[in-house]
Amino acid sequence: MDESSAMMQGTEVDKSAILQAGLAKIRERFISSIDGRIEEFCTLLERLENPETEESACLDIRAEAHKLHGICGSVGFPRMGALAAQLEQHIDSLVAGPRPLNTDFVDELLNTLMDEMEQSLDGAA
Amino acid sequence: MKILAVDDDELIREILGATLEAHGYTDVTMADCGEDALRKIAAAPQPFDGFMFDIQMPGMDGTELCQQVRQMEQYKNSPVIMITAMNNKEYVDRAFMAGATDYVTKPFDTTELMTRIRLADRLQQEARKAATAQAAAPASAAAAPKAPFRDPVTIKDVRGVVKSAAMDNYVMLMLEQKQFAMGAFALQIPELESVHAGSSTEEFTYVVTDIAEVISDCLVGAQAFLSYLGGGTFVCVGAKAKLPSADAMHDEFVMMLNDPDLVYCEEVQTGFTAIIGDAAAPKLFEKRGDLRFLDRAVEKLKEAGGAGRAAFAA
Repeated sequence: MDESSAMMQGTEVDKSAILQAGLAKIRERFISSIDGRIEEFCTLLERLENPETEESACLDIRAEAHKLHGICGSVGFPRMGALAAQLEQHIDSLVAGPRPLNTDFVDELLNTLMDEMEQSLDGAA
Repeated sequence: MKILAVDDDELIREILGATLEAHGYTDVTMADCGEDALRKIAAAPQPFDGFMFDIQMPGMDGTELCQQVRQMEQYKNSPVIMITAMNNKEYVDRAFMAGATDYVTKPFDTTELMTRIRLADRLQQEARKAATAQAAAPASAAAAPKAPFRDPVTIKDVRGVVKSAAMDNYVMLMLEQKQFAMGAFALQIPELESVHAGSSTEEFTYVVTDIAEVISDCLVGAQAFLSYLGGGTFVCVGAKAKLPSADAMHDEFVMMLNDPDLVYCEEVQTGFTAIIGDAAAPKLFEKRGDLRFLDRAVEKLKEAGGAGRAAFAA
């Protein structure tokens, strides 16, 4: 390997190290946000039980699930991301359908997601 | 490359910033919503070279933002990469209709993300070189050489019309997400060659734009996109089940082409005809991201009697 190739390879390694260090910090910040996200979901679950607020609760749950879907895979929690995506998609088809909404499966999916969040939090501790 | 990245999620903005910075893109401005992005665009002392917009944001979403940015003269051809965590075809369709040129999906794959950014960077550099060369050319437009007939022309403000590179990107996204069975067909207007020979580039572009509008009208309800490949050839792509067949489309299409209120062609007296190829679709054994079916659509046009000069090469 000549000197310039070695230097280029070194630069690539540096880039990767810088990126990994940056992503590790973001992952830590994500982990520290999980508690707050679970609390938010708990509040939304209560609203989901009330027929007057269930639709807006569904939309708010979807918005939070959408965020999780976007971030989880990038910070090392692919299963959490997949569950969030499933919840997001289910709410999309639910709200596009007839009324009254049957939110039973939203409830179930959200509880599964929250279990996964709690387990991830325990695992990361 | 000076980039404006917009996402309502702070952690996503941080991931984007860290990834771009680690790969040498240090001139990155972040905005947390569409309104914030517009403020930053207005306040930027130097224009941005490219944009990354999250599709789904509270308030003004990425699609609306893209539309607004495209209305700004200096950004009409800038690369706009949409960021999407969803596989909802409607959102993606709207984004490409609004002028997006590419997309990345969340969660980010770093290699994929950087490929998209470098591609946007290269396109932007080429566009800038072309603009510089144009500015340095003699002031008289008449002195500029006319682009060959085989070259595409830029069609603006027609619903569903995208550049072929954007069409490639759209099709890849749809195939990756297995949204629907896709199909594509090509059509050719042979008389455009004589229109090209007998008119200026500007006049020729008007006629091509009128024809694109007619095609777009014929495709209403088909959720299709179209692109002008040059050489009088257009290619249309969309959900295969919704694309009109060549036979079903031909007569009404030709009638519309020859309505002077729809296609105005003063310079060259001609009646328009159309050759429409059968639809082509991806084959089962073809991998995701394999766009050969677009080339097959152009091949089918040749089988239908088209001159076959154009090829789907983004």
